[in-house]
Amino acid sequence: MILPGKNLQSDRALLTIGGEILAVLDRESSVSTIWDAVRARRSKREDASPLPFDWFVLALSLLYAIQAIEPQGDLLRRQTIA
Amino acid sequence: MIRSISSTLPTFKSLGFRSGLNIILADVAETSTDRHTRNSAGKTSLVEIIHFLLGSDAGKTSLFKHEALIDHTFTVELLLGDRWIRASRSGARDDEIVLSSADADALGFASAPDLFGSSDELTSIPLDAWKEILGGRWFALPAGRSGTDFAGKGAPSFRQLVGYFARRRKVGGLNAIEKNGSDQQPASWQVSISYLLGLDWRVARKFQDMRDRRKAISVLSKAINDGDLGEIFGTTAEIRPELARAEEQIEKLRSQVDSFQVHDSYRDLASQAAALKDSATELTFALAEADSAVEYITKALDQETPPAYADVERLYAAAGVELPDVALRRFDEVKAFQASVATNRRLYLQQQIDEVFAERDRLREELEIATGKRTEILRALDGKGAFEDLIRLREQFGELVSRAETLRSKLKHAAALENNKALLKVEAADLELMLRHSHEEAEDSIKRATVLVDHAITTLYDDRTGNLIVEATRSGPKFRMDIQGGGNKGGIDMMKLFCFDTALLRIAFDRFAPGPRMLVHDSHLFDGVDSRQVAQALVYGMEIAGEVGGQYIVALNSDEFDKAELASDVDLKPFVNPVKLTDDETGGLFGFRFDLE
Repeated sequence: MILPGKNLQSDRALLTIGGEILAVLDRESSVSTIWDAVRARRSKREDASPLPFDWFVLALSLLYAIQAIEPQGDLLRRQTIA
Repeated sequence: MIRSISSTLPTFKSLGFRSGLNIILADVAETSTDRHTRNSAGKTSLVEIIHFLLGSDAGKTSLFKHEALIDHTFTVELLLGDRWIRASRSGARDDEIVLSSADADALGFASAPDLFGSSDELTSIPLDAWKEILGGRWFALPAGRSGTDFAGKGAPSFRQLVGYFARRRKVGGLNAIEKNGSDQQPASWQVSISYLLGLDWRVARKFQDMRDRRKAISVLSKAINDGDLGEIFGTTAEIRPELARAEEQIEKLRSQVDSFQVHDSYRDLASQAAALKDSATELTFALAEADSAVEYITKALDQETPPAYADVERLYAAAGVELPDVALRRFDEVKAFQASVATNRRLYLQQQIDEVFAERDRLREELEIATGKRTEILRALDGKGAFEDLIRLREQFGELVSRAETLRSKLKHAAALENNKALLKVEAADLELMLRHSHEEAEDSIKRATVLVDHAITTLYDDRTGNLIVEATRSGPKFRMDIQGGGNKGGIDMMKLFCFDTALLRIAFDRFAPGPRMLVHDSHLFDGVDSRQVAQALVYGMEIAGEVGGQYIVALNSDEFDKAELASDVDLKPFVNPVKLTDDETGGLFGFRFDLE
């Protein structure tokens, strides 16, 4: 689920999606902004797999769980490594 | 009646005349050649002098404008009423007649007071006044013409009438009984003879009016047919439809103008309405966009479901397995985070949709206001227009009205022209009928003339009969004379003139009491006439002269006279004037010879 595998394409793996999220998260952004940016980014790739909203939220939750991002009020930002 | 003719020309052979028959003889000189004919003796000139003194025109080629005669004065003594008047005229001053002051007085012309009691004082009167006097005394023509039937053109005039009493060969006065000159127009002789004979000359004059109109119409018709005036006139058939079109357009425009209401700020409001329409269109587009945004967001709300609770658990478990070296936040923290993310997104979408709804409401309101305002403006402008539009309409209307007016007058003219032709035919028939009636009413006058002519013919010819024929024709009164065996301008045709003229002399005496009482014939009237008839004519002329108490003056060649004398039952010698003319150098009327063209 997290890592790509025999039954999971790499661009479906949550860690891959989390990477994409971190790539568009260059400053504090709202969930909707990130969601739009990721979809825009994926729509540029021809062979991209569809990305449902709930899968995107899971990717965010993963990033949060591993402390890659942290909420800042209503916004999210990358967590700087101390 | 004439008593004498004289001149200031010293060599002029003054002539005296008596009442009754006067014969002026011209002798043949032994040396006469073809070039020196007896005509140069002055028999014809005698008639010319009489006419000159009776007011004839004296143009540049006139005898009296000849350099040998122009400065000389000619004088006639003639009887006007019961007074012998001496009247003088010269070629140099041919526009006036000189009278003794006493004569002028008697004729009603005021002259300068005669302080010395001299009877030699002279008064000049204009030639026209002289002709008017003669016309009044001899032919009962009114002195002032305005207000009488004689006003206007075509009425009898002295000069036309007197021409029959001293026919001039020079102008072709011996060619036909009804004409005293070859170029005399029907208008002149029809009126003149009608007047002299006592027929209604006014009817005769009407024929000239008709001739004038017919001529004008034929000239106009020709011009139109030739195309000169085609564009101006056209036929009624061409003009009528054009006029109908113009009138129809006028009616349309009239109702437009009548119902036209001016709105002061029509232009402003009209452009406002146009702008409102544009913004309404834009608003409608914006609304459509908002609608599709709503649809999109609603769809997102439906489709963007947060992950199930089990998935979070699965994720957390998987992270622990797949990422063993990574420190994880606590599960309940992750769960709370995920819930807040989902809520955040939903709130955002909800907010978005609320914004679009608000925008949509605003647009709807704006659109309603714009269309409402536009409707209001259009209602205000309905049936109205700008002042300039009304002016433009009125101008068009004015142009059309004047065009229709032009067409109507064109139509009137064309119709008049077309009708005139038809009318003229009818009028000619009416006029002929009127002439016929007038001749019936003047039956006695016509009878008198025919009897006199008949009498003259039977006097001249024992073996011939003839008639004066007065006809009422479509082209006016016609006068002709039939004498059995006449024609070809022979002697008999000349005697027609004699018979007609003597009848006129007699009738004028009765009608104008006393009329001119004078008839002058020169020798050419007797050219080719048998001596027997010449003699009879002289005697008959004398008889008529006697009846009117006037004179018959005849110029004859002496050899013709001698033959006539032989054939005559009456002694004619006592009537020969003592002055004899010859055609040698000094023997003529003027006493010297000069060339005339």
